[in-house]
Amino acid sequence: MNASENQVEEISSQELLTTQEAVTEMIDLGDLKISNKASDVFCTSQLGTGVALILFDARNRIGGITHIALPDSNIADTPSSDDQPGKYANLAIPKLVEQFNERGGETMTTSVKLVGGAQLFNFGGGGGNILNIGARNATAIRAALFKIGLVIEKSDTGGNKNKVVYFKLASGQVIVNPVGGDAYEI
Amino acid sequence: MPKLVVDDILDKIEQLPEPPQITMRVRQMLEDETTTAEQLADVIKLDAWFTGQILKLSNSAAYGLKNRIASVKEAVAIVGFRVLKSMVYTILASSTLSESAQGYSLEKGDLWHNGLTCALYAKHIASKQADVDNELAYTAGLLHGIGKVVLSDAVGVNYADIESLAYKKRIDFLSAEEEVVGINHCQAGARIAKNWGLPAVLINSIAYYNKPSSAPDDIDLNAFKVMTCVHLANLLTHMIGKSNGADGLMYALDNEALSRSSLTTGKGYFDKLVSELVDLNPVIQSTIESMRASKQL
Repeated sequence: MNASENQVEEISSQELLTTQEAVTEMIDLGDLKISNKASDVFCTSQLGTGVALILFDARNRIGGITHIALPDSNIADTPSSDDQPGKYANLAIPKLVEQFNERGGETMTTSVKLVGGAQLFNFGGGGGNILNIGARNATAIRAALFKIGLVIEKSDTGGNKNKVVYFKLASGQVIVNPVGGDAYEI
Repeated sequence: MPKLVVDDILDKIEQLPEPPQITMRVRQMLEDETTTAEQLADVIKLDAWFTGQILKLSNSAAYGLKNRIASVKEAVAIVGFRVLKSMVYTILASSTLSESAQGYSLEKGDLWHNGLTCALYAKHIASKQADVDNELAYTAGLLHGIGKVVLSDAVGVNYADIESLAYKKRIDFLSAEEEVVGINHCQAGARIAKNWGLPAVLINSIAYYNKPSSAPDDIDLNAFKVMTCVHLANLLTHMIGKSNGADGLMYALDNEALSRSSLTTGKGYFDKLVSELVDLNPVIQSTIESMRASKQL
């Protein structure tokens, strides 16, 4: 993790409201979307232990977003279905990058952002928290990105809050709004 | 200060609108083992509002019935008493669940969305256990958060204190809420359920879902298992569901309850469970959307 990865900027309530009114599509758990439409504003459903992975190529103005639920599809009895390409990190990341590249996104010049992966409280419970899916999601995504040479520019993972993410294609802005808290840009 | 606040909350509980008479009557008939399907249908069909509610629920995505249900007689025959009971409790709680709870950052409709998510998750978890009544788990899940309606104002005013106390003392949000406000939303919810005349298994589940292992020892094992299903379902709702409040994931897993309930949690259990529950989210979403469209929310 580099030093500037966690820096955030405050967002005014007016800017948040304008963004909310401009939302064009919801990104639920398991969804994966690519777009080059400047008017698109994606909004994730609440991120809990799930993680939003966002790619943005400013030069070609291509954006990609996926809302990942679990680190690995191998644990599930049934593989990921076509309508939930973003459900598992190990399948979502190659698919996101492939579709992003196909639409003209150049990963070499792309900014990568991560949000989510929250945790339940775990008060001194020996043996760790068996529901630590949020942390495992973030770790799996970081490892997969490292493997394909993608550097994370900003991240906002962990903590105990549900968060909603807005991704504006016009500017590449990623706005995070924790439930009951103040919004900020990462 | 807490005493005044607690008194105010207790007043709010007493002032909640009483459920319609017909709902109470049908609830009593369902608890009576001698009631026949015919008697039940005869009473329900005399009340147009209640008939409408039963038909709406029978045909909603949440109950997943394949054929369209057109009459009360059909509903009673097809869904059976067990499911009908869960529908009656749903109707009973619906006006309270339709309230907002701004103190928790829960907008109008969020308690419904959150309760329905917990209900369907609890039912799914219960259906994997051989001896847990999954309809009961559904209802207990739906009602788990009703106490938030009456605690909302007090939590809103004291939110920052509750949150910082939770982190400082390393306690969950519910314990911090009780320490600051003087009563927690589980205790308040159990009182509401008692006022509605709900069965003990539901009152206990609302009272202890956050930490089943803290429930009195005389609760029977089946009721304890229902409570544990709701406990796990609630945590998973906060992890992967929608419409959660500001209290977020500031809760902890009750490992002791899981082992006392012999909930199988072998390697990969939770990941598989999460994978299955994520697939229920579209059903929940469409139920909430149709409720909004028909102005129920």
